[in-house]
Amino acid sequence: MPPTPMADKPLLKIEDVEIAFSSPDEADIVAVRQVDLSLYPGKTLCLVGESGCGKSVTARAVLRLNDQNSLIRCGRIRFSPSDGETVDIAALKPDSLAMRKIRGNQISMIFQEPMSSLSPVHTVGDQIDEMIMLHEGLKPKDARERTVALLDQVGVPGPRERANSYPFQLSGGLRQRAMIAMALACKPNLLIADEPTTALDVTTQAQILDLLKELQEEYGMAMLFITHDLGVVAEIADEVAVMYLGDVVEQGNVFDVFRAPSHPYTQALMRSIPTIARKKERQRLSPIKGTVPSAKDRPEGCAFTSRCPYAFEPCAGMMPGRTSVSGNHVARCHLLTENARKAEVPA
Amino acid sequence: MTALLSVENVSKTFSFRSGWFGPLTTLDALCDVTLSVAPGETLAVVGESGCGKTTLGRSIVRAQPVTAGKVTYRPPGHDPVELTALDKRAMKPWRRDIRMIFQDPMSSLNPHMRVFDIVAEPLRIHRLARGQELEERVAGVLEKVGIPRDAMGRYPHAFSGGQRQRIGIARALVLDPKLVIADEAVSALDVSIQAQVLNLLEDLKDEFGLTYIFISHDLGVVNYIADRVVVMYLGHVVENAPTEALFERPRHPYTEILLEALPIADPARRMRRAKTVRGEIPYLGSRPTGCPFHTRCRFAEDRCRTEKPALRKVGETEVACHFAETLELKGAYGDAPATRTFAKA
Repeated sequence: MPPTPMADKPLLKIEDVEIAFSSPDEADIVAVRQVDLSLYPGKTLCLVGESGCGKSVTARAVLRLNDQNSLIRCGRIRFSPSDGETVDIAALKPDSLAMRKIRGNQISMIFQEPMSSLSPVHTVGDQIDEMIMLHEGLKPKDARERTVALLDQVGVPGPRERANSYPFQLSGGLRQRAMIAMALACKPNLLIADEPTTALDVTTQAQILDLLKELQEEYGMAMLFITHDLGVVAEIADEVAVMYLGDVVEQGNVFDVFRAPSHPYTQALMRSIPTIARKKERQRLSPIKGTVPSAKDRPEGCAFTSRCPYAFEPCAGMMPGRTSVSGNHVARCHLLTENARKAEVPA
Repeated sequence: MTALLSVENVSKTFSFRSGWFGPLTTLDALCDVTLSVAPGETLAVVGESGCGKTTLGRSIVRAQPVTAGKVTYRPPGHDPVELTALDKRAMKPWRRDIRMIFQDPMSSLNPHMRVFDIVAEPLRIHRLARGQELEERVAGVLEKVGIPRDAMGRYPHAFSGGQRQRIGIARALVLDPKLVIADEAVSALDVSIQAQVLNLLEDLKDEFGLTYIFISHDLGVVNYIADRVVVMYLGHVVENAPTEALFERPRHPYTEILLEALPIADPARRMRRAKTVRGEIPYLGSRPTGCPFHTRCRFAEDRCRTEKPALRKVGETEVACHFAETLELKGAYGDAPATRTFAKA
């Protein structure tokens, strides 16, 4: 990777991680390969891609939340909080004390569907209290004060009364706010947000995105934000990593990547979303041909080979290296390397 | 031009008991909805969850009876038919003309039926084809949507989400309909697949001369596919305008909020949101008096709290807002189209 313009030490550095899932009657399935990502304090990194591209698996690996049949085959996940030592999360046992100290405390997570990730039989307040009592050892009464203050901060109206509500009594937007309050309870260094606005209406989505940005400024936390929506990426990201079938195909500063998308998949993805434009400027969408193959059928080389309009001879057999486009903007594509420029490439 | 279908003052009230012996509660899902769709037009119906857009679609196909109002269908070369006045038997022939595509391609295809039978079922029910002819028609329509003939014998689970949606489209088209109601037809699909299905819908429209009512919450998709847009809020039509007019200059404050909340895939256009989005959609059962939107509207005045605005014409737009003439609202088109370099690597 080329040197990054940021002087700080990364808070989270994922290096060459490969995650596989085993099943009793089939060969292991490699869900993500050679993932390298850096996340700096106070910044937002978006992982973007379509269903099955490995974005959730990557994010969950940071908290070691993937199912028991998953295995981090190689690589390191270095987490360096400002007030502590660097830990390699990939080397920890998922249920170890060290991991449990990080989970929910230094790194916390919010999920797509707040209804299924909150307990339906406990009040929202009790669930947040529990978290504060466990990690910070506060007494129930003090914990409740903190909870009410948190709910107030995330914009829940009437927080003291709302703390006594069950999740089903709240609207989708309020439930997501309660989730965010819970995630912030221990002032995490890193917040992982897995499609937090996908289940919400657009106006609620806009409110939640604004809230997350405000809170990030206030707490100075870093965010690892997972989404399939390029609009949301454009709105919230500092850095973006585009994933396809387990590979990070392109990554870099969000302005650079959107201005000059360099991997054929990123380009195709951007051409397949309708732009908000007047009729005369509107172009017919150019969808990506075919469908995403199964991870089992992924070639040794670039995962996008089977659908890429520019695919040529080295693509299927050899994984392209990371090639710098500009600054910290890199893409993995043979077209960007020297030897490809010599070859005649049919468009 | 006369409308192919018109919906006049339609209301739909659901009533239910909370608990076995609880009081009877009513919810007004549609309030006095009026709109029409011209032949060959794509009319989009947009709004957030609970605004009544799905109820509207279901009311048009008579999947449920309406509480008040009428839906009139004007088939070409035939006298107008008032669908809401027909009984089940009399409605049946018209069901051939008005077909529906659903959101979730998994739950809208019977997992026990082969694709052939799923698509053939409407032809069998209407006794339109049998034997060899049936097979030809089914294979023909499947080919049109991009499902190969040799896949007809398979079950829905063997197909991807995008292919399943194509099967749903084939089932809608096999009867040569005039009007297709697509209820969130591309919402469950990944963007690259969504683009394929949107293009397919456009091509089929041209080829078969279809008219679409396209129900969606995604304004990006709507801007792409629709000729005209109806915006709904809490069961009311608040704005009805040609697509370009609506996106260029919305007339209803709710439309402006929807447009502003829309994330645009261009970081250079970030931070243009002026925090006008506030509050949440009220519960349908406790609908505000006066203008349904006044609780979240930044222009609300006393009049809005008491007097319900009627839908009226302002320019090309029909809008239900007391102050539509004077409001200067912001549209969604930027000053210049986004420039993006697709450097051929």
